[in-house]
Amino acid sequence: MTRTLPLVNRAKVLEVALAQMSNQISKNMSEDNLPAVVDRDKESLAQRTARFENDALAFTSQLYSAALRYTKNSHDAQDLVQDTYAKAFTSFHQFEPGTNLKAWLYRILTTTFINNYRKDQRRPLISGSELEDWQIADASSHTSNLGKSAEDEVLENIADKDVKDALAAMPEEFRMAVYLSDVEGFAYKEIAEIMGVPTGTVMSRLHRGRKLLRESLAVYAKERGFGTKVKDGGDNS
Amino acid sequence: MSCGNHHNLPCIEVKPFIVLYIDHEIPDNHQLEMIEVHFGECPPCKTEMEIENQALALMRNLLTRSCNEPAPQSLHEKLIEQTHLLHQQLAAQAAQSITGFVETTETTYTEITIDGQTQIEITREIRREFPLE
Repeated sequence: MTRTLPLVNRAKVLEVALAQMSNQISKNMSEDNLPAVVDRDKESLAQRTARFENDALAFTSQLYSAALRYTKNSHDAQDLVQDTYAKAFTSFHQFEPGTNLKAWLYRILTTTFINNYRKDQRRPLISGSELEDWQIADASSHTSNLGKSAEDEVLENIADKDVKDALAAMPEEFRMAVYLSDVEGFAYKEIAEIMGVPTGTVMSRLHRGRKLLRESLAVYAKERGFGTKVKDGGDNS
Repeated sequence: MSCGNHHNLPCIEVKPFIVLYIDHEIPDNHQLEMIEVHFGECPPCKTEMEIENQALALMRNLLTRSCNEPAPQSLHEKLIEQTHLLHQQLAAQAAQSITGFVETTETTYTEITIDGQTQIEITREIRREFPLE
């Protein structure tokens, strides 16, 4: 369908058509000879979308697993992953190729969760005492009171569901820190960036989270009757 | 726990570093070396580190095993669809910024039945919005 354009716009349209043509030419040229390093300034939208589909969407299952631990249900987890990828796509031009894409995606996931999905958003964050708590890191959290082989045996028998329940029962900040460190293998500094807190806070949350998880797993094991060899699974010191 | 022997770095100072050591989070090489020297000299601290390391490794395995849940196929499909949609939106925005106008096409299907005869009317409206200059 055509329409007579005002003169000013006609000139503009011509200009645009020419610009598009030259864009197309440079695009074709670069497609024949794709650079190893992505130059975001020269990348076309189509190329960026393709790169997003290849690189970013590859983390779908990993992000979904994390989202399940965050939201605790499949429906919200799927929504969260969708929201995360929508945000990631629209700001993908800001992501610097060659840097840690996984950490970048986890940061979006975590921020989106904290801002939009947390059940009680007004809940205050854990008190500022957590740093000192880490600094006086007590050696009593060590599991030396469990025979090592006994603990192995006990924990290996724990059902996946019990592990997930134990995680779900933990305070959110601890759960996230433990998940990001012990499942995803992120470094403290990366976790700090993902969660938007100082590294010291990450250490504290991780330390306390691991301790909590260990204790509750020991309780599950005891309840299930696996813990007969354990003298005292709980650590009350 | 202390072995009662004298070390350059006392056991009590090594304790907070045990977890950091296991997590590979001691970035200072000199500090790392001092901790390793201590482990070499002090069997109780070394044992404590090894027990802690094994317990953590076990927990990591347990967590990884339990939390490994693949995303449903429908989610993969939704994400591809969503990406296409967003791509089109961005492309339209880019086109707008180049051409200076937005083009929208709206198609309506109207079914009219008069005296048992059905007619379908299809209208397609192409609208171009030019920004005011």
